[in-house]
Amino acid sequence: MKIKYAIKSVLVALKTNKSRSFLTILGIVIGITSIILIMSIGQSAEGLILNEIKSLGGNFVQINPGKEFNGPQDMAETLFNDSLKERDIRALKNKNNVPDLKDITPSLMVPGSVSYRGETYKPTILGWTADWMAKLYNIYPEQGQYFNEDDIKSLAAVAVIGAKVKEDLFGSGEALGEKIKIKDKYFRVVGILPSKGQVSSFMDIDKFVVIPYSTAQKYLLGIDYYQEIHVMAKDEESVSNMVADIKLTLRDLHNIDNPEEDDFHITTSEEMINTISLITGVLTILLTSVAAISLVVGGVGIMNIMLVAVTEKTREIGLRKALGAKKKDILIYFLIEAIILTVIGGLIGIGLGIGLSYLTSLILSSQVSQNWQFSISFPAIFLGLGVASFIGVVFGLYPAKKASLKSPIEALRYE
Amino acid sequence: MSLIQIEKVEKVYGEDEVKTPALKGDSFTIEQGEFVAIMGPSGSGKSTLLHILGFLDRPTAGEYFFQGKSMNQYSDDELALIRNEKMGFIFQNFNLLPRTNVLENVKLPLYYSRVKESLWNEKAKKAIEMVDLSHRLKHDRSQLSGGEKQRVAIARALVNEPDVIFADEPTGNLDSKSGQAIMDIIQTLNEQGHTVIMVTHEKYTSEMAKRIIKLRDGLIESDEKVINRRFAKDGLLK
Repeated sequence: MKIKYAIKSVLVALKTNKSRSFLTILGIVIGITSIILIMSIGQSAEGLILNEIKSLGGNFVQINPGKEFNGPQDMAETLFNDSLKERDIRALKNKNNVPDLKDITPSLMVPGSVSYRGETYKPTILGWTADWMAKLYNIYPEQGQYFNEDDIKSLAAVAVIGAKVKEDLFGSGEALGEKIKIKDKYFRVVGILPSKGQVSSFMDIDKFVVIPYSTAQKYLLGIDYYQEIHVMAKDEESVSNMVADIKLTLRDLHNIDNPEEDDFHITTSEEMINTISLITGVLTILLTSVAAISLVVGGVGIMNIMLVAVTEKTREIGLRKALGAKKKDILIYFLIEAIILTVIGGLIGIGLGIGLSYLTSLILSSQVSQNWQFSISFPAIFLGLGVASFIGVVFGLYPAKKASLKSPIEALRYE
Repeated sequence: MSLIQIEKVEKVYGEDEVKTPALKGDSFTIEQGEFVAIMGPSGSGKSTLLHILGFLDRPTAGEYFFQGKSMNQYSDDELALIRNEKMGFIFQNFNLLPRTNVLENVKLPLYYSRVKESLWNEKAKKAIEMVDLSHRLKHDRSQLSGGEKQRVAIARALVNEPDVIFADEPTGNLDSKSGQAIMDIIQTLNEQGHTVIMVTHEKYTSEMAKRIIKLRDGLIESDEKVINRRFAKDGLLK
């Protein structure tokens, strides 16, 4: 029998049973849709985070207290570790120790809220060197200016605030030069940042209050250590040299002989990229496997309906056999039916998946980050189509075989 | 060489314990060009015999030679090919494909044949013309009367120009007028040289054949030539 004819008559049969055909393929549609959706979103998320890290520049390096964490308890240790102090900054700044270092600043997070004349706002309060905002993100104050080295040295109570903080505390009023209250201490607003929204998925600059790290550390937190140190190398090429020098310097200062016992760890942007890729990769695989299970369920649904169709068509199979159809002809007919069902399901799933990914990207780009990029995962599309036809063959084979083995007379007698 | 020769053909239904014999060792010969009616009450084995003769079923014991070759030598797929090219079937309940028009129904055997696709339409139209339904080519099964449905089935049986036509109660589901018309077509086909083997339980219809084989309880009761043969075109005589 000509395949073309088989396809034609299968399509006629499917059209006659439209609603049943649709319900049959629903499982496949849902499975493929989820695979496409998950893989596309995974790809976009990975791309977004990687871009953010790359935008920090390849020469950005972060030093955290505590050893590199390989488990939850290491993370807890890090949070309360006080191994990084002012002397470390001084030693690292020394060109003899770390010649490739271009710039360095501690960084501290201060929990709490800010208030101004009864208005209260809960921002992200960061003890930092404010002009790193320009160095890393190329953001300059809209009004006023960043506080300088002298302010840091003198533990000045000054603050640079984000657009959202300004709006919530001052409305349309003048903010520059006003005093805001953080933890019962008054800070003078010296700079207001332009509205940038989310510069990354971790940071919404508009909700920032940046104060000198020295002030945050001693004045607000009352501690003598730093939670984090940010370092910039001269250029990307010198990062590995610089990291090696930093390690030597800190070990020397902390009297550490065995690198296993390091009480600090250094993360370069390259390492961040690798870690993020690993995490998103594993997550995507995990979620895709869950979606794949729904495909198997969909396949069983197809097999079920195919078995019903074979029983229903017993007479027709008998007639076709009486008129000269061979086993192979009947087998092919029902296999084609199963494959057409799954491939149609697959195509609808791909369409829906792409559509939903696009909608999701619209929502995510307005809710999470403007840098969220819509992307179609082409491996997902090929995987989806491949899996759909594979399921068609696998789950269609048994009903088709059953149909082809019916004897013509048994089939013709069937009532 | 006879067209059909059966020797001590037996057919037993059921397995092991409950065996139901349907044919108990029948033998006869049918030559090219004959018109044979197989008669008998229900349960006499006449349909079983027709199914075996039409390669739709295999005998439990005995030999069946079709055009001199034993059926046992053929595989199922080879039987399918012979059914397709040398045999035509007409059923009591027409067995047309649902939601399929006259032309497509008649073309159905060609899909499984070795006939070139370019000839399909021509052959099918020719067969439809023989049963006088050319004006109904694109009509759906549901738009046809019973008599017209059976004419479509006859056209389908003819489309591959078979050596023998098997008819299982061809008028069983039709009113007497339509039945008469169908029998007229079948008689004409026989005149044109087609061998016809027809199962019927109506004496009147059986007398339109040239020879009647009567079955009772799986055995041949009689095998006689029809002396006063009836002709359908003479009109209703009942």
